[in-house]
Amino acid sequence: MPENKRQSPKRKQKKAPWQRNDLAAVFLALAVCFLIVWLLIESGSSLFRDVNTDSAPFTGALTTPVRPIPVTNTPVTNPPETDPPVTNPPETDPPVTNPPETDPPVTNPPETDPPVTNPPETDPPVTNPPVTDPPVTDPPVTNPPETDPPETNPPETDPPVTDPPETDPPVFEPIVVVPESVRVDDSYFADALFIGDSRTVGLSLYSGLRSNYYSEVGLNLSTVFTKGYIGDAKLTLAQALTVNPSFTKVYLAFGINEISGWPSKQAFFDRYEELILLLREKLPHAQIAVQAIIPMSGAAASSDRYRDIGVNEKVAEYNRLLQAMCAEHGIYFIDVYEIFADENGHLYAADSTDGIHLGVASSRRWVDYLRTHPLP
Amino acid sequence: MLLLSLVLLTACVSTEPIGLKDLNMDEVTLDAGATAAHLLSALTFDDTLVKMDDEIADGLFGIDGLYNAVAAYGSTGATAETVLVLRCGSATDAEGAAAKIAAYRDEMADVYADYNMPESKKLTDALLGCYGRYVVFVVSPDSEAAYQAFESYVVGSLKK
Repeated sequence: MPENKRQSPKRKQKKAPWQRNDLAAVFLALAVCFLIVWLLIESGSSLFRDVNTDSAPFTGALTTPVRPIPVTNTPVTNPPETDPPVTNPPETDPPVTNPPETDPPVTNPPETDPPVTNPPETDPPVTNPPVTDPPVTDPPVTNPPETDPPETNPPETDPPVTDPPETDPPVFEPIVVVPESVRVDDSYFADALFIGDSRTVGLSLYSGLRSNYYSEVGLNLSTVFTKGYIGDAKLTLAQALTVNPSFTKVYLAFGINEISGWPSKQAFFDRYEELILLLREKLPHAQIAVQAIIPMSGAAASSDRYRDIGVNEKVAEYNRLLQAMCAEHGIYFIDVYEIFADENGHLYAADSTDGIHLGVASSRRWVDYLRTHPLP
Repeated sequence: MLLLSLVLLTACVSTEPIGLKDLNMDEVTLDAGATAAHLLSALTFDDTLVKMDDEIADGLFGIDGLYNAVAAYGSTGATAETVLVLRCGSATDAEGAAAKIAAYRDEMADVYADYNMPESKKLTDALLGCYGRYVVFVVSPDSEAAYQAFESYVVGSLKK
């Protein structure tokens, strides 16, 4: 057997893993470095961004933002109130360049003032980032109407008190048809004026109501303007109202003569409107009320004289149009029709001896209706 | 002689009834209300007349201050029919009231001429008389009957 000779070791010394394969090690190292860098960038990205432009003043500290900037956060994180930025950004953001671009905060706070947390009264410029010194000059007033309590806004620029009327449809609907109300005594009518035809003459003679009457048998919506029939001087209506404009309430009652004698419905309403305008001119402070046309009795309406006219059908139609006319002119409509018309739209037979003019009891019932329907 | 006596007796007895023209109305005393009521019941009207308040009558006829007593009835508007009796303080006041009533009659006759011609004729034919200190105004379908009714009432009142 040969002598043991010291032989050079043939087994190679084991190398550390990183020594074994240099190339692999390099790649591995690079990967690790890349990963680290990437992580740092992601986590640190928000550090360089402004938290938001309207939140608490940016202090300049690298703090975790309260919420991501909605503008730059296109994804789901946009509803900032619900999205904690911590969860969102990583997925969507290549925001390396974003922060600076979306970072108005350096300039924003001063002008726009983040009043959300700063009720202007409590807005201590002191807390505004020193970086943005100008806040001292910051007029919160200019900023955020939406966030500022109205007190901070000069009333001239912010009339919230008046807003509701502009935006709301009118909640007040003017009354047209005079409703039943508390009964008034006859003193209520002391400064009232009744203008009308023979039915109003009957009212003046037999109702017992002491008031003022510019009425005449046969008066209609044409002669009321032209005829001198008032007082000993026989003044026209316009003249009489010039002499005495003291009336505060005017009750009008026309229609039965016109329906039975005028062919033109339009003429009737044109003249009625002229009368209203005349009264508005002469008695600008008076309340004006149009009384519904009282129908004829069935017997009178079907007489030879009126049969072909369809008087009571017209009465019903005209009353609807009169009500609309009153609404248009902002005056009142007194629906006396409802107490004088039967189910067929005829005057109750007992209310009249001739089917047209009211008897004493009916005139008094008419006035009683007016007593329980004072003008609002 | 007997024949002469009969002739003389006959001459003293008038065959004509006593009329208003024969009476000294200053010696006649009439109640306005009763007179008007008699006329209403004695005459025929087209409408049912209703009593007017004195104040209303004053305004309607313009007779305020011219009478001591008044009774007035009118139509509710269907007709121009009227019964009006005034007892005035003197014949002079009665004449003044009668003039006012005449003016009202003429005016309403014009009104009704355009509105209701038959009523206008009633007005133009109406009884309107001044009898001493009494004034009577009746608008009715028959003015002659109205006069006779008033006359008979006055004469009859003298016999009581």
